[in-house]
Amino acid sequence: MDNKEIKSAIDQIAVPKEKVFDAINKGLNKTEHGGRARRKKVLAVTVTATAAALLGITFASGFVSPAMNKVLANTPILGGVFQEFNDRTGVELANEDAVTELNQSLTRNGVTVKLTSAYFDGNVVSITGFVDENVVKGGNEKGEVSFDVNFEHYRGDNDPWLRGKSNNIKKVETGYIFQWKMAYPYKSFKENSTLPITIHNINGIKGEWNFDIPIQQEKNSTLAINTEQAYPEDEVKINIKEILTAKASSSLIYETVEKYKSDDIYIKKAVDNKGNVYTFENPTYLEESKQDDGYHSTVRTEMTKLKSDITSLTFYPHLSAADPKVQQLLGSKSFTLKSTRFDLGLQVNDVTQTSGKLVIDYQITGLPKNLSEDKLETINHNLEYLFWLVDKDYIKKIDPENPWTPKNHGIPFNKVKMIDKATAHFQSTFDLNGEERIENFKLENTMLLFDFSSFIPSKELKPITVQLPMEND
Amino acid sequence: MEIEGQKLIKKAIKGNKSAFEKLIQQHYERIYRTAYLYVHNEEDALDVVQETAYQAFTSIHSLKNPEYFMTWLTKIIIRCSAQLLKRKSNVVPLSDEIMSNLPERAYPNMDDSLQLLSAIQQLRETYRTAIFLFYYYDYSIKTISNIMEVPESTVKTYLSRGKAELKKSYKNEEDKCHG
Repeated sequence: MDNKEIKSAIDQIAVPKEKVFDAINKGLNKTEHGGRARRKKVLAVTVTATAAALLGITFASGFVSPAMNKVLANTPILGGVFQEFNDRTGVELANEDAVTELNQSLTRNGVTVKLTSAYFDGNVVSITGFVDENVVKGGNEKGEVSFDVNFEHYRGDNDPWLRGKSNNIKKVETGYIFQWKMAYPYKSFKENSTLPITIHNINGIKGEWNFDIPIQQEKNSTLAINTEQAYPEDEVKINIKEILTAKASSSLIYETVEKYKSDDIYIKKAVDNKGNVYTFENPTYLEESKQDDGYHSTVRTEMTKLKSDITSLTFYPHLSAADPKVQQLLGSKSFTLKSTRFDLGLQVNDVTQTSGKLVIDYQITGLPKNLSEDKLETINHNLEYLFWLVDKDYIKKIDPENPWTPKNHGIPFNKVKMIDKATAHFQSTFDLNGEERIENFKLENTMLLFDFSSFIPSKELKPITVQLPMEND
Repeated sequence: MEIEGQKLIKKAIKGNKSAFEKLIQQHYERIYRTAYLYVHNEEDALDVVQETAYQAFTSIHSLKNPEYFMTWLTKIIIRCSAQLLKRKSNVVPLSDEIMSNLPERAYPNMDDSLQLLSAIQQLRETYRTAIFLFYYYDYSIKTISNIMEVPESTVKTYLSRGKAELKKSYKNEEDKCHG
């Protein structure tokens, strides 16, 4: 085994270039609005990626099936733009003449922006446009175009339209064509409305380019379902409320009720009585509230268009359960912490402080017997991140939306040594002088926080089957 | 090429976003693969790439010596990967679904190179980091010690133990295949 072999092994990891470039771009654009993504947003991004993966590589790689090609052969120019951006919904809508053609153009500081089309189908708003090649005079390198844009006169990052926005851009002869796709951010749809768009700058060239874009969709057909399934053991409930079907896509609206706010319920797929599989996109949170029976969230998510001739639909929900962190002041040398929600415990046998290190000796109780070697390895690995040491006066400074140890007042990592497999006995060593440390460290002022969540596998909840009313047409 | 790279880095340090983006794009395969070695799936690796781009750009002004750009960036990738594993709260979830996705015995017929890759991915984190920094990045022991913030002797230990483990599991797989 030599470096060549190892190199070629690592080279086996396929790199999705466009997605990586897109991720880089998103990372950089986070800086533009000066804010960091909230956790929910991050979660949402993950879910999209999963859904995209489920949708199939065909979609992502730009491969268009022969059947699609046949359709495209007869498509007017607008459909061609959607084809460029692998947007099937767009192609389908263009074929049905359900895309609004626009011809609005504005020139500022020598740069012309022209908006060419808009559609609003189900949960999705799309806008396509063109920007001329003078944008290269801006600060960006050749081939790059970045817009600083807001909708509905929102400012900066605090714009609900930016939360579910994705961008696509292609070089054409005299400039660049682009498509923006947004998840419609509001609970109720207006059939006709105007969406004000403000482009503040493009590649650093100042505008403003202001547009008012009509967005309209014919009334969605609504299929009311309202089937609630409770999972008392897991302390969650799911209410499948309704499915809206637009011209080219459907959206599912459902409500979850959770006792623990950080629980994550997601619908992996649905299958109808004929075996068709439906996949789900990025969820839009329409409403969140705390009520007597728990945290309620109403979610709308784009799904594969519902077939019209089916009689039942089975949803496959998953639960990734959260367990609130438990804590204990390090004044005493031995103590036991119990998981709030599960039958798991952390039994601390000893706490010792020696020259710049803190060693905690402990056992995890309540784990299944006969854990495989693999699982023990994983536990061993996870334990490096499951303990936090935090200065007790700074516990309140931990941001619940984006939890992390307070700088200079917390240590989020440790090194783990397994002492005995059979008794799940480990030792964790914290570097008190590392990059992440606690100023003026004193054992009795330090809170130990432990997170049991990772011991709980994400689980498949019992599927929910709903009978669909037959359509009267 | 080298000089052009240095120019880009200098521009990036001054806060030129497009220079920075270009610079990161030049190394996209390396960044993605490094992230992937930690998080083991595409969506998380892409999240790490995004966070790395963000963190790197917001802190590049603190990079004093352009020569160390790549080692500095590597450190950020590793840190972002660790943060993601942590923040996903169910770090590496212990679900059977995930465990069965571990490549160890999933692909008895895959070729040597893939076997080796899966063996690398199963190494414990410190060994894995040392191994890929040394063999894939071609970094010196000294540079690795700087990135991992451990003494050079520790890097050497990681390397030799990691290699021994690789040989063990890699050979095991071979035996299974041929025997």
